Amino acid sequence: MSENFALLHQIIANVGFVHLTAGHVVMWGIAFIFIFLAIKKGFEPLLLLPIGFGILIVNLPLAPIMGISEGAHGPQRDLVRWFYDFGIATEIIPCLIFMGVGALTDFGPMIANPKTLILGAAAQFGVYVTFFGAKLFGFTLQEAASIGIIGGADGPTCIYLTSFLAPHLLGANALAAYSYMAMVPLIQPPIMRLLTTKKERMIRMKQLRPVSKAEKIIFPLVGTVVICMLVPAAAPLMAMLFLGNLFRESGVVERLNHAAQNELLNIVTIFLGLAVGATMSAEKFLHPQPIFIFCLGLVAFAFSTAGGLLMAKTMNLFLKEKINPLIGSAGVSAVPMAARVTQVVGQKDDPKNFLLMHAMGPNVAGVIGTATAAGLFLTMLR
Amino acid sequence: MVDNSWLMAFRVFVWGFSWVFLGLVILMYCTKVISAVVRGTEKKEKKS
Repeated sequence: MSENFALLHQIIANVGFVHLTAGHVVMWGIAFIFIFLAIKKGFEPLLLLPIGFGILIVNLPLAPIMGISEGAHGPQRDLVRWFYDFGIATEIIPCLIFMGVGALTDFGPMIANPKTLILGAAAQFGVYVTFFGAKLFGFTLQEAASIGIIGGADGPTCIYLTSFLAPHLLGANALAAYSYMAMVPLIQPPIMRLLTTKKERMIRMKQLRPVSKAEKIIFPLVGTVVICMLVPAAAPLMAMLFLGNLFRESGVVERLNHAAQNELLNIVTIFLGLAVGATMSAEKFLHPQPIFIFCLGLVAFAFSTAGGLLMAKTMNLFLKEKINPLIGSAGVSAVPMAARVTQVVGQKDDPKNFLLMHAMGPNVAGVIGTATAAGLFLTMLR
Repeated sequence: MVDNSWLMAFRVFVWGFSWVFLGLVILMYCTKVISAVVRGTEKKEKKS
């Protein structure tokens, strides 16, 4: 009889509801908000959905999701812990995502108008301003760098840098980066209108020249050598980005190209989303720090947008053929959302102005710029 | 006396941002060279 009670007691003691805290419930709320935004609003659903679910399951008391325990054959990892330790902590997943991004990216608009690379560089302004801002809030240099990179609006780069410099901030940083990427259409337009005149927004740009296949094949090869020689720490990201792009442009490895931009990208996105979400347990997340990170992330994003816009305006002082400063705001990566926002804002003042392809140049240049900035942080702060 | 970490932050800001610019400006010129060489070669091929 007493054994029966002992078993019943054991079962009750191991019921999650008994161990539920207010913190868990708050995190469930956050998880449901992300799942709602993904399903109902369509905000970055490929990431916010698994991230939201990851947050939910890691906050189920006693559920073996993200822990490590001592087993008979060494450390025993829980399910999502495997994804985290072997995918994110080892940097594999962000790099594989970059390969998929490379396979999906057409560098043609940037090759046709290489000046847009300068806009991609200028849009990293927010990264460095926020790096300073985070330092002001008392974060260490390493933490500040990982927060600043949110301004690059590039999820994989943010995760890559944070897992090197400040792994304890991974959940908050990744969530801030992906949330702001999803909110590009809400955040950028007011800044774009504030910093440009109607006349500037109505500037029409000459149609881009067609780019030959040879140019598109040589570019990733030269890009790999130039960036990886200048900033070797950025090599894992840049090499994978350009490899994916070479798959795409070479035209001889269609199967690899297809796998990189479909199966591989989709699989690692599932692991990434779940693992990042699962870093956000109530004990780690419910502190003032993540709130600061969210605020600083917004600052980073705003300054990056402004950096690109103001650089485009500055360039117009010297250029014969003026560029529409709105395309500068697309330098914040977030491909292709930021370029689409440029198109929408531009067409509000001139419905016959087509800026999308022009904005794709700084948009993909921003991806290179953010990865370069991350490599430099690693070089100086690791 | 300036706090060392602030000095370091300033250096990271200046050097980092400058280096990003340098990298992308070099890439811009490389892109221009690639385009010039490829288009020149293609023109020559068309003429011949």
